[in-house]
Amino acid sequence: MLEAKFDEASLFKKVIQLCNFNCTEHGITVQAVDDSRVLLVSLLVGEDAFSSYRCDRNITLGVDLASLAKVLKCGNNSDSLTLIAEDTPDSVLVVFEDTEKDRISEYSLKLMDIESDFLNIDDMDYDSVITQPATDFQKICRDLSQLSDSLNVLVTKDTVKFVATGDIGSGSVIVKPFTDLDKSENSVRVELNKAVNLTFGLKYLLDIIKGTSLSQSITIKLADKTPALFEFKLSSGYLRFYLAPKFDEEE
Amino acid sequence: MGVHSLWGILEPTSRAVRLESLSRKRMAVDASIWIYQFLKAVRDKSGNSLTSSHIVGFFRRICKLLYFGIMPVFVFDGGAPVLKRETINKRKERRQGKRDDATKTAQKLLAIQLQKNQESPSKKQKQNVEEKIEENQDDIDYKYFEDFNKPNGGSINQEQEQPKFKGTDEYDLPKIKGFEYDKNDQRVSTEKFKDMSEHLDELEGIDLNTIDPASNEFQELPLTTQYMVLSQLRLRSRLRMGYSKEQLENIFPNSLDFSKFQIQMVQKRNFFTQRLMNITGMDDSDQKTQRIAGEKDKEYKIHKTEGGWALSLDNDSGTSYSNPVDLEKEDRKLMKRQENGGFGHIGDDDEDDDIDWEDVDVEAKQKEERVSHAMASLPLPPAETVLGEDSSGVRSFMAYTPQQKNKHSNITQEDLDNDDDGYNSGEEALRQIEEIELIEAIQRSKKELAKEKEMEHQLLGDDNSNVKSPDSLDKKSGKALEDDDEFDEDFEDVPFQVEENHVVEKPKSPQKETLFKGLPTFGKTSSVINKPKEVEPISRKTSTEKSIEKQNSDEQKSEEETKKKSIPSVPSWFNSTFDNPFKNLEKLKSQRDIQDKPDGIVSWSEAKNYIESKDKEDINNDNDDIVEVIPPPNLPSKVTESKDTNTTVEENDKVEEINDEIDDVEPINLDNSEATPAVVDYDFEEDEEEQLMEQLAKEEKEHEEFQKDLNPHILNNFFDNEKSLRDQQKRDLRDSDEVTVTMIKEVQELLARFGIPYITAPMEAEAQCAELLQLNLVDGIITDDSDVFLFGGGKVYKNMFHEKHYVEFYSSQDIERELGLTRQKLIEIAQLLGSDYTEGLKGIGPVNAMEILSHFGDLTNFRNWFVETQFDIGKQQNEESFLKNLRKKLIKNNILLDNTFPDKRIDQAYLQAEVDKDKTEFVWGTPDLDRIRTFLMSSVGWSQDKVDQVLVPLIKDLNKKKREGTQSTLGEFYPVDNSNRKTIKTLKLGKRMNDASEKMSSGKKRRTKK
Repeated sequence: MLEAKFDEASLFKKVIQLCNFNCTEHGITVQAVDDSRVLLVSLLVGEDAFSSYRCDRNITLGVDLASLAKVLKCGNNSDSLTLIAEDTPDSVLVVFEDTEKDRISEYSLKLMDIESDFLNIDDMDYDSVITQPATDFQKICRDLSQLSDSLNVLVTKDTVKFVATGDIGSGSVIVKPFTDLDKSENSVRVELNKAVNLTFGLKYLLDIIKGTSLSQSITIKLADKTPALFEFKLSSGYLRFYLAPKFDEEE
Repeated sequence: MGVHSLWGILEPTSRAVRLESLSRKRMAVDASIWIYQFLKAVRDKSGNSLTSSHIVGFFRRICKLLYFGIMPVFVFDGGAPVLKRETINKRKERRQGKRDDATKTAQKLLAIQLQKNQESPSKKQKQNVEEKIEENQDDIDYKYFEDFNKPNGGSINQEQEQPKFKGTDEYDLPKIKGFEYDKNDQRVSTEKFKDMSEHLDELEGIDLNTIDPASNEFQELPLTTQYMVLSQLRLRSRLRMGYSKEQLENIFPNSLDFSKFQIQMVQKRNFFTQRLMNITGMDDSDQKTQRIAGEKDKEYKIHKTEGGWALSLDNDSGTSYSNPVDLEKEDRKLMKRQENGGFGHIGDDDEDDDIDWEDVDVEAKQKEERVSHAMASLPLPPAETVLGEDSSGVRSFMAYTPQQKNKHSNITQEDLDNDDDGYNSGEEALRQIEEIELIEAIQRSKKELAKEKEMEHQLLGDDNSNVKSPDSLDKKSGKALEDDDEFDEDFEDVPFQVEENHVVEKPKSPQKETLFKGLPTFGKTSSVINKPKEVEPISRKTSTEKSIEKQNSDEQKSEEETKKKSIPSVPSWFNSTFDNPFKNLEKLKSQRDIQDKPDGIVSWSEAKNYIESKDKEDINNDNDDIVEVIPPPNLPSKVTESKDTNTTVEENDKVEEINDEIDDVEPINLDNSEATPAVVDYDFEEDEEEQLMEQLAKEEKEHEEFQKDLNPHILNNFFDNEKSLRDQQKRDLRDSDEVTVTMIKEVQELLARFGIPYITAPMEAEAQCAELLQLNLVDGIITDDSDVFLFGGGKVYKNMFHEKHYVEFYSSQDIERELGLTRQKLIEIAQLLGSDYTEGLKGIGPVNAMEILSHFGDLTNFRNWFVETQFDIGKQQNEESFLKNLRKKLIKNNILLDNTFPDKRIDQAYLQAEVDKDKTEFVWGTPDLDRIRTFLMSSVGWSQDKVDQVLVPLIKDLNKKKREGTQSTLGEFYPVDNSNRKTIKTLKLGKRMNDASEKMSSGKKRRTKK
C-alpha cells in the first residue's frame, strides 16, 4: 500500500516520457535514461516532501508521464495530491483534495510495464564542483545555445569558462567565485581539485535547465572524461541529471 | 539464413534501442548478408535487380552508421563450411521435390526418365518438331547427313559402339531429347534408324555421360556414332533442359544463377556444335570430301580457315576440295594465290600480308584503297571475288571505318543468330534474344567509336611497336602462316586500341585460346563470318554458301575487332574520362558482347575483371588456365602441337604484360577519376551495370566450370552433362549464398574509401562477428542472422536499418534469463528447427521445439524417448498427451530419429567455428570525400550532386563531431543493473511457449521484483 501525499502538484516536471516510480519507505525515486543514453535523470522525493507518506513494501509504478501530466493538470495548484497504489498495482489512484471547498477528485491512472535499464551510479569523486544560481546557468545555456550545439566547460583555478563555437561565431561566459552574504543562494562557489575541460551537448543542457524552477541553485560536478552531474536540491530530495560528455575522436 | 523462426522465439526479449545510444560503439557488421539482401530485395519494376544495388545499399547504410557515430567493422564471409553446403544442397533437393540425394537417386530417376522418354513416342515427335523448328535450315544438313550415312550407319554403328559403350555403365542418362528423326521424313530410313536410335538410347543411357568427345577413342568411333552422341549431348545442353518456367524458377530462385546456367549451357552447346561440325565433315581438315549436306548441284561445306570457320556452298569444288586448308605454309600459300588469282590481286601471300599490316597502320590512304576494294567486293555474290579480296584490306576497312564497321558487326550479330540456327541447329529463343541485345549493344557503341578513333590514331605508332614484339615471338616459334595471320589481326586491331596497348593484347590471347581450343567460340566466330557483307537477309544464304576462307578469317577478325573496340572503353569507363553519357552503357554492352562470345572471351573479360580488382594472382591463375586449356586432346585437327606450346608461351607473355599493365592502369584510373564528369543517364546505366555484375559473376562460374571441363585428367567429367548440370545447380545454390568476388571487392573498395575497417572471415561472417565480440574488439553485432547467437554472439542488433531511430537489441543474457535458452539450447533448437547447418525436423515449429527442449531437457533424451517407445504400444498409450501428439506429428512427417540425431557435427560447427582470433584492435579512418565521390560516380553512375546530397552533410557532421567531440553515452560509465528487469511473465509469449520457457529457465530466473 502506497499513500503519498504531495502538497504541491506542480512538483512533477515532465522531463522524460516514461519512467518507473520506485517507491520505497524512504520516498519515491525515479531513474530514467533518455533514449540515446546520454542523459540520465534521477529524482528523489524524500519522505519529508510529503505531508504523509506510507509505503509498506517497495513497489514500482510504471507511469506514462504524459498521462500523468494530463491527470495532474486536473488538479489545482492549491489542491493536495495523494497517490494511492496497491502492492501489485495495475493502476495508481490520484486524488486531489481541495482543502477549502471539500471537493475531492479521483483519477485512476493505468500503469505500464516499462522496460528500462537501471544504471548503477556510484558516488564518485569529482574534480571540480561548481555551485551557482540555477537561473544564471539557465541563461548561460540558453544564450550559448544560439551559437552552437556544444558547450565547452573549462574550469581553471577560480574561473569557470563556458565556451560555444559555432558557424556564426563564438561566445563565452566566464563565471568567477562570488559570495553574496545577504542571499547565499546567489553566491557562486567553485571548488577545484583539478582543471577540467569537458564538452556537452547543449541540447541536453537545455533539458536540464528545465529543472531550474525547482531550485534556487544548481550544483555542477565535473570530472574529466566522466559524465557530469547537475543537481538541483529539492526541499527534500534532489533532482539529478547525469550527462555524458562529448569526446574528441582522438582521446 | 540463420535458424528458422528463431527470431520468432527470441523476439519477445528484444528491446528497442535508440540509434543514438549506439554512438561510439564498435559494431561488427555481418556484411555478407547485406549484399544478398540488396541483391534479392532491391528490384525494379520488371523484376531485375537494380544496378549495383549493393554499392548503393552499402553506401546508404554506411552513411547511417557513421551518422550515428557507430564505428563499424565489416565482416565478410570467407567460405561456406561443408556442413552448410550440405544442408543447403539437401534443402534444395527437397525443394525440387523428387530428389532426396543426388548421388543416390539420380540414376534411378534418370532411368525412369529415360524409360518414359522411350515409352512415349508422341513426346518424341513433339521434341522432334521442336527440334526442327529450332534447327531451321540445319534440318537439311541434318537429314542429308543421315541419308548419307544410312547404308552403313546402323550396323556399323552398333558394332563399334558396343565396345565403347560397354565399359562404363554406371551413369544414367537423363531424357534424351535429341537425335530423333521425323518419321515422316522419307530420307531417313525410319525403320532402321528407329532401331538404331532406340538401341542408342539404351546404350546411351549408360554411356553418354562417360563419353569424352575429346578423347582419341571417341574420334575413332564411326562418324555416325560420334555424330549421334554429340548431337544428343548438345541437345541435352539446351537451356531449359525440359523444365517448365516454374520449375526453373524454383531451381534458380536467383535470376543471376539462371543466367549463369544459361550461359554455361550455351557454351556447352557451342562446343558440341563445334564437334558436330567436325564430325560431319564441315571441318575439312579431317575429311576433305565430307559433305554436310547438299543438293544436286551444290555442296555445303565447312571450311576451316586460319581465322575460323566458314560454311560455303561452292560450285567450284576445286577451291576447297583440292586444296584443303592445311597447317602447312605451302598449302596455304597456294590457296591464297588461288584466291588472289580469282580476284585479280597479285602477290598477296603471307609476306605481303605482313607488309600490308604494317602499311595499314601507318598509311591510311592505302587502306582506304583497300577498303574500297573490300567494299566493292562485298556485295558481289560470286565466291571468288570475296575470296580474292585481300584480307588485310578488308581488315583495314574494318579498322578505319568504325561506323561502318559497327554496322558490319551488327550484321554480324544477326548473322550469328542465323548462322547459329543453321549450324548449331539447336539455337534457343533465349539465346537469340541475347544476341539481339548484343546487336543493340554494338549500335550503342558506335557513338563512342568516333571519339576513340582519334585517340587511336595518335597512339598508332606505339601500338605498332608493341604489337610487333609478340609477332616476332611467334615467328621464332615458327608457325609462320597462322601466326602471321593472327598477328595481322592484331595489327589491324591496334588502331582500335585507345589508351593502352596491352588492352589489345589481352583480347588477343583469349581469341587465340579459343582458336586453339576449337571450342564453341570457334563455331561461333565462324558462323559470324558470313554476313557482314550482306545486307539483306534473303541474300544471306547465298552469301553463306559463297563465303570463303578468307572472308571467314576477315570476318572473324572484324569480330575480334569489335571486341577490341569495346575494350578501349574499359579504361575510359573506369576513368570516366569521356563525357559520353553512353560510355558506361557502351562498356557494359560491349562487355556483354564479349561475354556472349564463348570461352576465350570470357577469359579476357575475366582478366579485365581481375585488373579492376587489382588481383594479380588471379591473373596468374588465368594464365594457368590458358595453359591448361590448350593441350586437351579434343583440339581441332588444325591445331598442331608446336602451336600449342607456342601459344602457351605467348599466353604467358601476354599475361605478364597484362600484369605489368595493371600497375599502369590503376594509377591512371585513379588520377583521372578526379576529372570524372557527371554521368547523366542514371537509370539506364543502372540496368546495364547490374547486368555487368551478373556477367562478371557468370564469368567466374563459367571459367571455373570451363577449367574443370577441359582438364584432361577428368576425362569423364566433360560430357557428363547431367552431372555437371546438377553440379551446376548445386554450385548455383551455394553461390546464392555467396556473394560474387567482384561485389565484395567493390564494397570493400567503398569501405576503404570510407576509412572503415573490414575483415574477411575464414568461414562464416556471423561466427567471426561473435568472435570479435568475445575478443572485445567490438561492442555489438549488427546482423539479421540468428545464427550469431549459436556462434556465441551476445549483443545483437537486428533490423538496424528498418526504422529511423530504433534498432532491435537482443542479448544472450536476456535470452537465457527470459527464455531459458542457453547457447547450447539454441543449437539444439536449431537441430529441431533447421538452420544453415541442419535441415531440422520437418513439422517441428518453434513452439514444439521449445516444448521438446523443456520436456526432455536435451535432444539426446528426446531421441531416446522416441526410440525406446517407438515399438512399445503399451508405453505409448500411457504417455501424456503432449508426447502422444508429438509422436503423431513426427510420424506424420516421416521423421525417424536414430543415433545420429543430435548431430555432434552441428554442435561442433557452432561451438568451434573457424574464426580468426587475431586480437589486433581496429582502426577507423576518416571518410575521403573525394574518393568516395569518385567511386560512386564511376561505379554507380551517380552524379556529383547526387553523391554530395548525402555525403557532404555527413562529412560535415563527422567533421563537426571531430571538432566538438562525439557524444558519449552513459552506458560507457555506468553498468546496467539488470536485476530490475521485467521477468518473463510480462513478455508476450504464447501460453505454451511461456510454459516451456518457464520450465527451462526455472531455478535460474525467477528473480522477481524486490
